[in-house]
Amino acid sequence: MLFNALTDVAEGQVLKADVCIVGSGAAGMTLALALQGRGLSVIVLEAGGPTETTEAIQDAYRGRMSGIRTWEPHRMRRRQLGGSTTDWAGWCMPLEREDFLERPWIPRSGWPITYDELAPYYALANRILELGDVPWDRDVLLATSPHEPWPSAPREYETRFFRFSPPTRFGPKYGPVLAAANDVAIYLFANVVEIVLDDARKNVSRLECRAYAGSGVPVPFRVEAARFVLAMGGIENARILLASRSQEPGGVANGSGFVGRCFMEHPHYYSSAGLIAPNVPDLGLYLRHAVEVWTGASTQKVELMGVWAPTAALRESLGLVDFTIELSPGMEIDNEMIGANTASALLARRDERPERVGLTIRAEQTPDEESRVMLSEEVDALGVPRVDLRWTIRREDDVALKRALVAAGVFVARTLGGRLFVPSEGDRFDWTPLPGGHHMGTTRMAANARDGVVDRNCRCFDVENLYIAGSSVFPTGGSANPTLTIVALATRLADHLLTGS
Amino acid sequence: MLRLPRRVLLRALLLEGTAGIIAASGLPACVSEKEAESSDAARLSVLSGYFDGRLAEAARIGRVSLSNDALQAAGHLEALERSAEIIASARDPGPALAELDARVEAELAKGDVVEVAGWILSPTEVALCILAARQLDG
Ligand SMILES: Cc1cc2nc3c(=O)[nH]c(=O)nc-3n(C[C@H](O)[C@H](O)[C@H](O)COP(=O)(O)OP(=O)(O)OC[C@H]3O[C@@H](n4cnc5c(N)ncnc54)[C@H](O)[C@@H]3O)c2cc1C
Repeated sequence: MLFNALTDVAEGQVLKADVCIVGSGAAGMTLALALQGRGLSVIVLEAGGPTETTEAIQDAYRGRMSGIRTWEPHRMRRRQLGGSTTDWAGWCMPLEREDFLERPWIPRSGWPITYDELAPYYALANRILELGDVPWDRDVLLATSPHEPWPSAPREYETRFFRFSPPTRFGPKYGPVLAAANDVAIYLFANVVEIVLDDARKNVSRLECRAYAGSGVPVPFRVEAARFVLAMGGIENARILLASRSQEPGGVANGSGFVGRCFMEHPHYYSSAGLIAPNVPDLGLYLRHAVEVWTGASTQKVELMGVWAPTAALRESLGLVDFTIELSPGMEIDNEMIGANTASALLARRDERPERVGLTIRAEQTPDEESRVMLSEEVDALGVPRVDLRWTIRREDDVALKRALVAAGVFVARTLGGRLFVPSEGDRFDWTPLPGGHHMGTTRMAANARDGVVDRNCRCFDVENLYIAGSSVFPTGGSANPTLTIVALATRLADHLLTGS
Repeated sequence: MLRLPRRVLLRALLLEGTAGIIAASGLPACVSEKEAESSDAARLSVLSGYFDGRLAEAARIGRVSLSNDALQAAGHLEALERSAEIIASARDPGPALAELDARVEAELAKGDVVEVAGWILSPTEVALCILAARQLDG
């Protein structure tokens, strides 16, 4: 069922359900889809409207950027049905097995769940994101592509694969499915403004909400439920917890002090490094291309793109965060002192015109408590403090990236006879990072209440009936784009809510 | 194989370029003028051959690496010494090029690299670029 809070909810009304989900993006809608038809009544509160957003609605997302200045906060996510999947590009990749382990060289690394625990949910996420049933098996994907990896016998660097969702727009794709369900009620223009705890401060008793579409007088109403799930995105999940401070000055579920902290992005370094290489073969594996895969039941078309990435062994030996390298053949190399033409003299005996390949690096970043979502003193039209986003990247990450790319230079020279250019300043990699719109870490998952905000089941340590869905629970971000993992975790959370296991 | 004291060689190299090394080696004194000319040509052809005639570009890399002291900073000055020796003693480019190639390969296998304006290069190839710069700049 689909309701408009502006017209269908009376002032002061109390809505009730077994489960209340806040947000209808990738996380919230996946959860609602998985709970539908399973004997629970579900309310989904969505701040935006059905098909498009307006500047006035987006205004609630405005905020300050006191760290790296990039896309402004209201330009990097969407407040509408389907959330930011309205804008996403559909690049998908699971996290690496090692991403879940504690990596002693990365402070605060290690998930309280394993890759194997999440693997079955990746299979479900594949379907939701319209990626087909083909498993995430590199050998299978490689065997189906007509192209060969480059170099043919990789060692320190391996080839991983991105796959591409159409991209699935959750609003138009799944909105109608949920609107047709009797046990799911979606309320549009329903903005949560505060989480209120019970007297013991152990459970959420209600959510304070406002019906509002960017103009007019906001109309208050409430929602009561047995269990609540915040699925508002990686910045807003932290914001609403911090902003709900009428009972607890540090905000709700913030006994550890980690709410808002360890904000992570995937810094994208577009066409930053570059290489020249002689006698380059077909690089088709590293371009977006479609392949057909026999799944045992049917033939499915899969869109693939290979990227280079450091092996787990190299990451461990050099103490690296993870990253991937996208290859763009023919791209100019941005080096004023020694351009690709000049450097080609080094390879001239083997190839008069060596191929130039631009490299785009997408990196993980070390969780850093000082990189964080905070509240500013300014409030939005609903009285909720705006965010102050202080995104920072530790110098150590830039230093490690430089180390990794020097190793890549050796790899390129030894295995391909090529030469690599790495933009750097002294001992650190030096290029302007751009964000991916991937907001992670601000309500991190941990093994105990001291080290994080939610437990292995995404339940808040401090508040028994409050759960969090989305990439804010990622304790580390890996280098893979987050949405596949967000969807996998949301289906896993649905299982937990349904079975308690 | 010709061996020069390191101090002599570097001084010769930095002050007088490849010609200085060749002079410091004393080789021309032992041969007739005609022979000297032909072995000088052989030496030049090693450098030129290494870069397939693109000495000007190699020299540019050499100048940048000299201005940054790239080889010295990376602790690979011996590559300069050794490359200069190989070139100075070359009578025929073929074996010299093969030896230089083998050195580059061995350095990369060991992970010995020098960074010049962001390019990750082998010490020997940087040394050859420096020699090319000295050659062209006199
Ligand atoms: C330009 C762009 C490109 C991207 N490309 C990719 C990609 O290729 N691959 C990839 O993996 N990821 C990509 N992403 C990231 C991807 O969009 C997000 O990971 C994903 O949408 C997050 O899902 P979510 O449900 O956690 O949050 P969102 O999708 O942002 O959904 C949050 C929902 O909560 C609602 N909400 C917020 N506050 C309130 C409130 N107070 N009350 C009620 N409701 C509220 C919002 O309106 C919204 O519907 C991209 C992002 C951008 C911006």
